[in-house]
Amino acid sequence: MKPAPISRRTALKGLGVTLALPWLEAMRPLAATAATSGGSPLRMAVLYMPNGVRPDAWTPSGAGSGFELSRLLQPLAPYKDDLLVLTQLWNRATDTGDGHYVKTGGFLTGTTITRTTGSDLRSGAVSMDQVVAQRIGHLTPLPSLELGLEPPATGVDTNVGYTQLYGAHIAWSTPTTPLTKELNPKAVFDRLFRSNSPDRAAQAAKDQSVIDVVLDDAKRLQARLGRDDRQKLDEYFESVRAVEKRIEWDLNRQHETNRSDPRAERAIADLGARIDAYSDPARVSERKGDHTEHVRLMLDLTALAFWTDSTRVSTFMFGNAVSSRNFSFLDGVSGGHHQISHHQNNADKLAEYERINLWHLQQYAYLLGKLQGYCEGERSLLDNCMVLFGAGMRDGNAHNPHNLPIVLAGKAGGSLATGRHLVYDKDTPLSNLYVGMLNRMGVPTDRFSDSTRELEGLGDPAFSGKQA
Amino acid sequence: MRNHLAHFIFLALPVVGLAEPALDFGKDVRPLIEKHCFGCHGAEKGKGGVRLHEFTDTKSLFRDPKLWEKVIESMRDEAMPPDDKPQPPADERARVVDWIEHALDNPADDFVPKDPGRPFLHRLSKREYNNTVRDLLGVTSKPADDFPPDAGGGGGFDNNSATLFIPPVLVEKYLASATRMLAEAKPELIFTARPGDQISNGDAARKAIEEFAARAFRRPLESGEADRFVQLYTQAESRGDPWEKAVKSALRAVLVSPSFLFRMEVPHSSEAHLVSDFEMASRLSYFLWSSMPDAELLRLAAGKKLHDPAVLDAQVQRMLRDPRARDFAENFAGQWLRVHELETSAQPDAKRFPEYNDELRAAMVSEPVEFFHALLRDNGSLLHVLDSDFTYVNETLARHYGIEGVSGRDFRRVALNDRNRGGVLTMGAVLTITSYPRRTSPVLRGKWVLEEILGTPPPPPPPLIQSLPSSDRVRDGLTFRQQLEKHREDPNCSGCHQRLDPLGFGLENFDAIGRWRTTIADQPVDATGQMVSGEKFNGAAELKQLLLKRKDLYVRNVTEKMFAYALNRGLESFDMPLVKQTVKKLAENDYRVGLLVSEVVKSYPFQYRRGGTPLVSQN
Repeated sequence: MKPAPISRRTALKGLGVTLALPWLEAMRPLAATAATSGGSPLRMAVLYMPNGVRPDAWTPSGAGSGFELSRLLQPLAPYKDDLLVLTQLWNRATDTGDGHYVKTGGFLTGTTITRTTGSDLRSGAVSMDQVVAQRIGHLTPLPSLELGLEPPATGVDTNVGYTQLYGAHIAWSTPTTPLTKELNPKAVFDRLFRSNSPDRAAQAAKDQSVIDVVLDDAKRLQARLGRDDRQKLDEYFESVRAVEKRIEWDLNRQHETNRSDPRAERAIADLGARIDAYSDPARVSERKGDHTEHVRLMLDLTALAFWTDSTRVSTFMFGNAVSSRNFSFLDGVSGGHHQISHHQNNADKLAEYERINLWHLQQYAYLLGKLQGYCEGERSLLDNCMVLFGAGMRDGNAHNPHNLPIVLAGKAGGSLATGRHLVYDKDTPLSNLYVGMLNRMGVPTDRFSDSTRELEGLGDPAFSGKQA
Repeated sequence: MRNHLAHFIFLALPVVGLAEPALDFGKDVRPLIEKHCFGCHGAEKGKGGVRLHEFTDTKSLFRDPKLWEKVIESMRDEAMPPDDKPQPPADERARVVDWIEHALDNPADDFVPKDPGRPFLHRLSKREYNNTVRDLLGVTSKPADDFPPDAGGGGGFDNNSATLFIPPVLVEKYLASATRMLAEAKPELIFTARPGDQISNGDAARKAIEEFAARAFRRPLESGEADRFVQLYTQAESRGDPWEKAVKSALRAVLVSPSFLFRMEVPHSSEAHLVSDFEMASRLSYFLWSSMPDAELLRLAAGKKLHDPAVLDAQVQRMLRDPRARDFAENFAGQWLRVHELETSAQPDAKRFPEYNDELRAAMVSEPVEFFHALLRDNGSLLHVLDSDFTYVNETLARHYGIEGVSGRDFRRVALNDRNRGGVLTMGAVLTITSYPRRTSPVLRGKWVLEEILGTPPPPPPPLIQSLPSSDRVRDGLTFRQQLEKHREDPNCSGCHQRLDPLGFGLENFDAIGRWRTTIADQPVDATGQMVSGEKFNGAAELKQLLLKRKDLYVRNVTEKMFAYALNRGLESFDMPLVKQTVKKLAENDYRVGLLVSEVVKSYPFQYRRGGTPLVSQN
């Protein structure tokens, strides 16, 4: 049964100093009950890491709740009770094609992307995050956020016959439409938080009338185009309609209400100041190479977007497939990510590879810390989240989609029994995990891609899978 | 598309070229295929939908060249016939595969269907948007710089129609940008009519809106097309907005409308047909300027002159001399040569190369653009890209290269006395993006030459490659080059690396940021090399002479790139005869770049589009 709506005053009454609650589901009269638990909405983030992991430093020892974190998972120690480390999952459809693009473009779709230099771009399916966004996206100002750090290369990898575009996208809104990532923290911040100026309602009304006109224009054109041309115009339609929905939010002013909590306001202002400092053209050279800060701003944006219920779905790419980012800013590392990932079991290279992996886990831990620091009712925001961290291959030296490095953090409103290392049968579909996530996010699902069932034991504290 | 591997191997052969094998498909090739393939891929089974028995003569291969490319690939990889089936002898396999490949690459004129290629509605790329609002509104700020990045594909350019998507965030940006651009616009460009004694507020508004929309849509409006925009003006006026503000609210919708944001081409037949003159004006202007057509192009379009070859030649000449052609140089050469990687992925180690600062990087990015722009302006030879006795530098870059007598930030042409420098191979940008953070990579440099210059990329390395150290220190008494040569002794590696590495060795006198050097880690530079053909060279100057002998490969590659860029799509097998004809014309005309551009704009796919099947016929 749906709880009776409560006023904001009631909600704030009795909040302790550490409790700030920018948004309670029950405050929204028309709130959907899907994807909620205990009154708060669930949120889902995916963090994608390119180039795989050092395989011998990844897997924890022991299974079930009595496991020991591996060397690479050490940064997650403070959140050990909030984790599920999942061993022996694989992405069958990506065990073909090339070493990287197939593993990236198909990471969240569980499908084999079409080998093409561009004219026949096709992931084969809507990605898991977008399946969720398409179901519950109407409940928030933005259906989803797609964030990243590296622009897509415009080239074609002639070695393997794939447009490099595939390596820059994990989110697909249709089987043929990858969702462009936002790379600039300032643009993300402005999009999320700076649009509620005083005359926002007036501006929204104007935007709406412009949209009416251009949709009319598009309809007129659509009738005259050939089938091939229509695909792009359809994309335009979809996107204009998505913006229309956002404008509706603005017009109903719900969007502003959910961040009018003073603590949310303060958090927004603080992050805005950090982003402005980061983006200040006068300080460009100072920030150059401060890659970690760039990452953290993106993760802060994710956390704050979740907390203010600006969106419930986000994906983040640490790098594009084959990323050659120079990690020499880390002690003991000299060289590019992809280059080092081809370690050839050379001890020095492996050590460098491990340091790069470790840095990624540290950033993941940073996000978990942020989410845990935000409170929502009796729980932390992290308790109402699922944050997936993973790569499309295990060992970067072998481009192997077996036994992928996968961690899921957050309790999903109590529906995940965390604090365990679960060891599955060899080659258990990663899609089984996606089924479990979809079910929790309000998309009741029997099957996703090559799934065979919902991944076993996610919510059962007694389950530990096979003994490691 | 032709199979790159074949050309890669071809490069290994003496430069004389490959004579046409004297085989006949029906007589010599089909029987072998019948013997080994028809069991599964014949009339009875047709496994995987592949029925090779349907192909009876050479011409028939062109009914489905892609299928035959797959046949080549799977036979060459020995994926087919499957392991449990009888295998053809190796020489027979090679002979058939080579023959099919040669046949696909060299069709007789009547073999290939005329096909302008699959059309995708083309959303203005970021660059095209910036330039278009500049020319439409007179604004100099670049609003699209804040848009999310464009991806790419096809020929490897960001103007590839199929991969220009329109995510919701972009529509938000369009709305915001339209407001901002109209605030910055030059009034005389948007208020082409104003209320006065002779003309009412409403009539002036309609006139201004119609004239603006026609420019923005790059074609005359259809009757009644402006009505919806005018209504926005009327609404705003009735809200009490002042006249200018009310007109702007209509113009804002024009700037978010699909007719502005897309290069709209409306099919007017179900068969392939010439595009309209106005569509042609946009094809020309976005090809050569990355922007909207100017008044002259629109005037010629109105006079239905833009399919006249003489007019097209004259327009190409005019447009290449226009300053806007710099965008062509930047976009085409910049992406082709991948110099933008300097701004994204190339990261020379700051401790090792403190000289590599923003100023130097910017100068490196500019050099190939200035160089290519000059070729366009002066109708220079395409061969200068391989080697030239001049380049374009400013003071920063001149100092970097050790060239004296250049001061200031502006780029200028300088003569190169040392012929080791000259051509794109020895530009700082190229030498830097093909290096690792702390050392040069002869392998990456060789790969870059094969891929970007000769268009013959090597096959990918086998999964277990042996890695090399990240610096060029002497290890175990071996210089870096000696370590690399040792690596090549591995038979798994030598096949490709004896083609790749020498090209890079020839450039070893240039360090990881493109400076001249004579020692590496205190050892003298060894810039000698030997091509697989046996030709030997020492240093960049001699290497470039050997590459010039392979100019046919390079010219074919640059021709393909140019077509792909102009057509906003990757090339297909049906485009190959056109590429071949164009290459032949270039060889007869001193490889002039202007001729290449002219041939492209007069070509069938540039002037035609596939027919469409509209939902509603327009009559």
